[in-house]
Amino acid sequence: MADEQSPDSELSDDQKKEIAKWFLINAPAGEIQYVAKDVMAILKDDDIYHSAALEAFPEYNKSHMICLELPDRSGDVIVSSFGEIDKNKYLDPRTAQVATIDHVKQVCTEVRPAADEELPSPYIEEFRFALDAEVMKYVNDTYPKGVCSVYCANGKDVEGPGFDFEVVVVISAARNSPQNFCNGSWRSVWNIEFKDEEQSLVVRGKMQVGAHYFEEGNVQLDSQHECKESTLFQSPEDSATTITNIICRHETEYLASLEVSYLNLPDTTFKDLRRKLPVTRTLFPWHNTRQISLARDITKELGIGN
Amino acid sequence: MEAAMGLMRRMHPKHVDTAISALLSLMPEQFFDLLSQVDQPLQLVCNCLDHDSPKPFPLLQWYLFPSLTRNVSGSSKEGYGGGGLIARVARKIELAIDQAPIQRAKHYLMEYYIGRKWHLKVLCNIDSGKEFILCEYNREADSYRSPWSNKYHPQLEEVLYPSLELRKLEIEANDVFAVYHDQWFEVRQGRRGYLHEGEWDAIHVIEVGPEEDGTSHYCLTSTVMLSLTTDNKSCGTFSLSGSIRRQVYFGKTRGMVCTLRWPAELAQQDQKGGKSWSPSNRKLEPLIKFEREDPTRSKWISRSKLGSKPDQVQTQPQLPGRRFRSLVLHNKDPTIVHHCRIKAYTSRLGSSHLNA
Repeated sequence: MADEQSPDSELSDDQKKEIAKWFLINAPAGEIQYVAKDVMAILKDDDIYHSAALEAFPEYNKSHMICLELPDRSGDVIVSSFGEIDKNKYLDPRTAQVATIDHVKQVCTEVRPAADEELPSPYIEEFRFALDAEVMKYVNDTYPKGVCSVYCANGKDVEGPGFDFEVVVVISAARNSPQNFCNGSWRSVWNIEFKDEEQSLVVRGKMQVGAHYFEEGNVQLDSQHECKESTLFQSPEDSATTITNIICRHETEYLASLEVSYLNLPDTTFKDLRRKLPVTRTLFPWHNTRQISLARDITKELGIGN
Repeated sequence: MEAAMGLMRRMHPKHVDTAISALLSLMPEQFFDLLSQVDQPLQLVCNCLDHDSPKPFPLLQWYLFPSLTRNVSGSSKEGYGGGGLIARVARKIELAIDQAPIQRAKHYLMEYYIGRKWHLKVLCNIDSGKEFILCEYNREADSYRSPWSNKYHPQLEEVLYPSLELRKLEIEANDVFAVYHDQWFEVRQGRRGYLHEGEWDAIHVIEVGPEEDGTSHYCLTSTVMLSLTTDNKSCGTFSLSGSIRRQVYFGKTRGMVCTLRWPAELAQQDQKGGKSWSPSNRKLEPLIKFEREDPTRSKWISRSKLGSKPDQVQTQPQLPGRRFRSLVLHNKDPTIVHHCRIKAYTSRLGSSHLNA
């Protein structure tokens, strides 16, 4: 038999770690703990697993923007690069607190008030706060389990007009029901550049939707969309309303277009892959294939049709 | 092994190749188990030596594994070969294929053997102007046997070939599936352009083995691997992929999206009427509907929990000219494969019928 030689040499510990990391990072939304369990079982080496987990979990948590409850139940903190103070500390701008995260356990262990230098200036905070309030209202209305946060990404020490700054709106919604073999997540990130000189705002959005259905199979949806829009620089309150309207409009459109994509699947997209019925519009005549092949041969032979 | 299958169920289907090679290198001792339990997307690598334009058609081929020749011809009391068997096996395949949403199968691969499974790894090559699939089913060392010419490429000495009857069956089956493929997968030029990229890979393995009392055991394992991406301005990229048994429940991922964020009109309704909305309120139709001519022909069973108990169904379809004692479907490989066990009355399907 041909398959005698099994794969060659043993892997080094580093290689094993890289593989473990790959599996962890590529876990679908909300499933990293299950993947971790399987990876651990396969590796059979706790040291390698732990060093892989230490590197993979933070990356996964940040890219999936998971949301963790603060230990004092004062709110949720989104784990994302925007609020990252150091590897295990994330800022929750709404409550002006810094949460300490256990990445691997995916829990928040500790919380402390943020220091002044970790927070934006009062001038920026005015914009951030107004926007946060508006976005929160919007998220509560539209997302069954959505969490949002507004960060200042650039220029947090700007004290007054005359300088550019940038805030980021992060919306993260996850829905996990492993008992129904279904998990999904919605992540959107909106960067808003406040351009002082041009007196304009540039809004850039990136939305990512993923869903995993794995009952007797493995079906995954992966969808993302980016968009951009500009508007006028206004007072904090008016800017907040305008920006939230822009976000709302784009997200609504995006969801609608996802719906359209799904609706198009059976009638158009799948038809590009395979016919709904054979050419003859009847089911395949298994008992009588010779007739067809004969007809085909004759057609070919005579060079007619096509 | 269970953990490995668990991972394969969670990794994105487009990463199957990476995932499986990672697992193989982590657990070399499970090499064969892994390869036999995980189906990978078929790869079509055209080496068009003889003609410039590769056929746009998917390949549809039937292989008989030569090393099983002995088993089949040795232990079987039945006469294998002849149109009857093809029709019979084909009938079983039809139950699965025509009922399952198999879209453009790039390749169908049929194997007729007893007791073992081989891993599929597919390329395509040219053999006397005809492409054929290179896979575990027709491989011997580094050579692959063409189902058209029955020759190994590159040539090998001292290899097994299917017995004459089996070879006859193979030829005939390839003829039948060539027609099948023309009927279903004739590619029209000038796409409607909805699809940015898409692939449909399907593998169907049939095992046939005699059992006691002159009954035969049929086992059909079908896997469908599908990926598609649409790309347009309004919705960016939309990529769905997966492998699943039978029905493709893409509707499920859609339902999930709707639970993440309420669609606009429903969110408004929700605010006004205080009605809560859940995806179950909206009917999610299966996106592919079966063409079902004869409701008695086959009854696909309800889904059961993955990896727990196997699905079981007992139906007694009365097929014209054929009777089945039972049609039992069960889930052998929880991740991707479905398994269909068909026991047939040999009195109806025995050699007299076969050789007719």
